[in-house]
Amino acid sequence: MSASNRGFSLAETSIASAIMVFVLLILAASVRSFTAVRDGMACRATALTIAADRIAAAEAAGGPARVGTSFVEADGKSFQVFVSCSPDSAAGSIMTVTVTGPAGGPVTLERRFAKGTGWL
Amino acid sequence: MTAASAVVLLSTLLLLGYLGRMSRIQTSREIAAQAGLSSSGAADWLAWSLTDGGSSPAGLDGSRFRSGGLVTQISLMEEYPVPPASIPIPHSSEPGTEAIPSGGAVSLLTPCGDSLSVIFFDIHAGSSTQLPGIPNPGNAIAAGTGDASGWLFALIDHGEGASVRFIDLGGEVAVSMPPVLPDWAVAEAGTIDGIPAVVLYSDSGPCMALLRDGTVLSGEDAARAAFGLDHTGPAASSGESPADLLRCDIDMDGSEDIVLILPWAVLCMTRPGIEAVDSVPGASPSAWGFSSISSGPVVCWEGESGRTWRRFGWTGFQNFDPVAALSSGGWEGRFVEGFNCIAGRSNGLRIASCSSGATRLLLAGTPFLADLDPGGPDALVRSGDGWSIMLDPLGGDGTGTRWSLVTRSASGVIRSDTLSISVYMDEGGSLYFPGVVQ
Repeated sequence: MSASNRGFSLAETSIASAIMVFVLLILAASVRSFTAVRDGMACRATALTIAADRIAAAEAAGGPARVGTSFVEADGKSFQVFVSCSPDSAAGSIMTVTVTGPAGGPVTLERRFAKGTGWL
Repeated sequence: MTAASAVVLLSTLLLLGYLGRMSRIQTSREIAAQAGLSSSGAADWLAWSLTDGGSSPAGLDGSRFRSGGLVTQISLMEEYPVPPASIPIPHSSEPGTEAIPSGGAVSLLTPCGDSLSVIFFDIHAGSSTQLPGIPNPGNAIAAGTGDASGWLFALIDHGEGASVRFIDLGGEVAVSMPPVLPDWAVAEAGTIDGIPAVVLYSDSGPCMALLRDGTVLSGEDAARAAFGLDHTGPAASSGESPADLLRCDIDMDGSEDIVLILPWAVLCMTRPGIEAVDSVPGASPSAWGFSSISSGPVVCWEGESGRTWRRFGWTGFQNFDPVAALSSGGWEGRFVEGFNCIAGRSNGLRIASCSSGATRLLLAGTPFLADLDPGGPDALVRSGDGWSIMLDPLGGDGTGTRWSLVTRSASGVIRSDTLSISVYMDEGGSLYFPGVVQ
């Protein structure tokens, strides 16, 4: 009697089932990881827009920038915005904006202004 | 079994591939945003170094600017002379459009039936804003109050039911109605303690000050208000020409005084009172201005006996022979001086004439002089195509430079920009035009 004609043994079925469960677990982990990273990327994109907007507002106003921490609601999520200004050796100021969302980690942008020492 | 495993494996690889791609795209987006900011910062720093920093273009060639973990390499591409900056004002070609300068901005007034169309042009932003139309008083003269106060100009009506209307940045109109509006020759507008105000001058000096808050000052209070006025535009004449007003330090005490140019006399006023009155029998002022070369206000009188130049000195007004640029032109009306040059109207054209002998035709058309930026006098010029602003024409040519800004990260070039910067030296230091980033 050939192997193709006989049924799988209990051992074979168990091993195959274990492999299947393992592979499905990997797939599930990948899907979960993909979803988490996708949410993180979406948060980073929103954070980038918030940071760029803050710097554009400072550019338009020519200072003063409001330094300190504030919170912004965007896409139904809360983002923390931290703005700092420090003097620069080239007779200006460095404005740093760090935006942190619920996922994806902080996004930091930096703009050096030649003028604007008045808003330190 | 094997096929199912292969499907799961491929799905996993596909998901991991998507993850990598998303991360790369987002990272490059963030780096591109930072590169743009780094390049803008480098352009800012370059302009500051060329003006306030006092560096030469050659000295900045090859500089490196660091920001946000990126390095911007700055290279000088070319250097060339540029003529005085001329800014055309958009939407100013309608016939009958008047340009009212005040505090670094220009208001364009165009009569449209019973209303006045108002366009606000900000020379720093280069933007025009159409304001809501306002009622046209018809017989009114406009004077700029300065956009910094939130108010643009005042319309002084000297017809029946005389009034002064203040117009703000939103096109709102506030009317101040004194019990009686006196006969006036010259009006100037500005702010007194931050409140928009108009001061009216009669033949004997300041006769009334009207503030936006409804305050009406007359007599000595009006004179005090005149000296306290933070004026923002040229004076407006009630119609009888010549009538004008100069603000200059005639007694060299460090504070600004007032010189009233009337059709038959010149009145010099300092804070204590009238300092001097001058006239030439049978003649009237044909040209006037403040000349530091001549150490005071100078007036050219024209009558049957020809032209007579007189200047104000320690012993009052005396005849003098004009020198340098003053002697070169047949000046008419108000002129201004700077950089050893005179700008004004001569034979119907606006010219700047310098003591070196060089003469520059500012622009053809019907211009007048106004101070629109922190530097020296500027020219507002009307030609067939509308109004234009010529900034600091007395400063002569500026220096144009083209720069290459290349921003790199450790992995290579991210962004390349070409930047044009024109620097003009004026009496207040320097000013620049960043041009277009390409």
